[in-house]
Amino acid sequence: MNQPTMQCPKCHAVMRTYNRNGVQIEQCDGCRGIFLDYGELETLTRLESQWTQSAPPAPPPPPAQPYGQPAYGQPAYGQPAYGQPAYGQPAWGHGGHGRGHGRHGQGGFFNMLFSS
Amino acid sequence: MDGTPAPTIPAGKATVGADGSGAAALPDTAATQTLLDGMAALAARLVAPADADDHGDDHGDAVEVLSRRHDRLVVRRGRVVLKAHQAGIDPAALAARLLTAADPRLAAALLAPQPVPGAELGGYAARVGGRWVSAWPFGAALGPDDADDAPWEQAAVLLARLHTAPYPTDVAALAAHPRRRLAPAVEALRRQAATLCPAAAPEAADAPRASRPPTVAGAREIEGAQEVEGVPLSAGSARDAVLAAYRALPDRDAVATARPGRPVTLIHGDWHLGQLVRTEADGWRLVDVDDLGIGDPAWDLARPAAWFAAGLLPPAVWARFVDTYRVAGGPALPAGGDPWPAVDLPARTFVVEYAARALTATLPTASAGDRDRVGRAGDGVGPDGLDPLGHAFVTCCRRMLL
Repeated sequence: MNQPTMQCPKCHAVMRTYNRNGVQIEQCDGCRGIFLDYGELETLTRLESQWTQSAPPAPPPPPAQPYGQPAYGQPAYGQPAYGQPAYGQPAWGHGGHGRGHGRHGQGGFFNMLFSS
Repeated sequence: MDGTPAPTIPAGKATVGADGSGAAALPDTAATQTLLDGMAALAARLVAPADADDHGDDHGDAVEVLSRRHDRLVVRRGRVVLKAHQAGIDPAALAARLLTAADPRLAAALLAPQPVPGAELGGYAARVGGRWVSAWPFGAALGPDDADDAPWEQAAVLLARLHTAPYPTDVAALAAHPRRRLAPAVEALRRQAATLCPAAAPEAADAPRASRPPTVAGAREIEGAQEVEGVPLSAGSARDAVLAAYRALPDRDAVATARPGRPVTLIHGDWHLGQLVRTEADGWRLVDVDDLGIGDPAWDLARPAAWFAAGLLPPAVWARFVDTYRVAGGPALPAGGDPWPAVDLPARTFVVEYAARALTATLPTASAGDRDRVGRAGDGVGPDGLDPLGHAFVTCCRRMLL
């Protein structure tokens, strides 16, 4: 992860590198745009077709991403690899669950935030 | 000191046995009343009635109960908050922790206790009703209503300050045990599940194989939830997943200092957003030093990391927290690059602990304390008996096994 920092060609914010199933992806911190190096789109397409044919490819080695989405933070049956930022939303829930019942009910994520 | 301020609670309403450690919580109404009376008397000595009047909450000698969880009791009178620490707490350890919180070098991170006239333990705790009671300046705590705009950046800065502070020699011998609730939570699940469905494994095979997302070859079949005679069939298999995730944790019985190559600092030991208060004088500070000790600072990031891993904490919030912590010089994470290896074990540990508690709370044998630990079910409970939170953690355990 010690590569030179890229600047987004669109909005000029800093781009970060994510490893997505072995594919390096640069994503802009500002506009969330994604930059793919030569051959990477093909690799992702190949991974996708493997996915739709049968089981997904073997899990990648521990990911190396700025915010460290753990391998188990993504369901194995999650979205196709290119569908979301590497540190992005696990398919099951992304923070919305507390809303609507945490506030008024006794349970919920909002309560969990504040208790041991 | 968590939870939203509650009006004075009748003494008999304390919940019991919620700590997972088997310790009874305020078991005796008379003892609780004695403790409350003693704390009220101590508060009256510390706060003149006129002072309490200023804040419009003078009830004579009465105190407002701010928090009563497990066997800890926190009350307020005017500008002073009194905390009755856990019964049976080691007085030497408590003294070291109170003196650490009072150390000027930690004043920018920890709320400092107030001296109690005539007190023991370095002058910061008095014996009241058989318990050690310490005094603190009042600060406003956060509650669930604050979740949308919780001070994640301030929290990250406070933790970074704590983790970079020189620690007093008093506390240097105290190892933090952030994993201390894990084994009891798993044991409670094992014990209660064993009494319910000793032959759970064959049942799981009967669960209909409804349409499911593809799973990696060799992964356990752990989806599917059918209910027969009130016992969720999935309980066996979900329990298997949680117990397997527990067994897969390395060093699960070790103390926090045991990981090679990791920094060792002063850590809070039980950090979540309820451990922040805002005082008029100083702004945000960390409170509750009962688990303060020496250990790997990554454990103080464990809960947010577990929430993130389970898909509960939005990635943007996790990113803000991580970025701010790094900028503030927090040593738990590398200055750049992937933070996950540093928090992976703590996050996994808390995912398993949350999942075990959630699952235990779905069992018919669950005590009120078990249910209280995970928040009450009621909204969005699925056919497996798990609410969305429990489902998130159990599902995360399953992913950890893939």
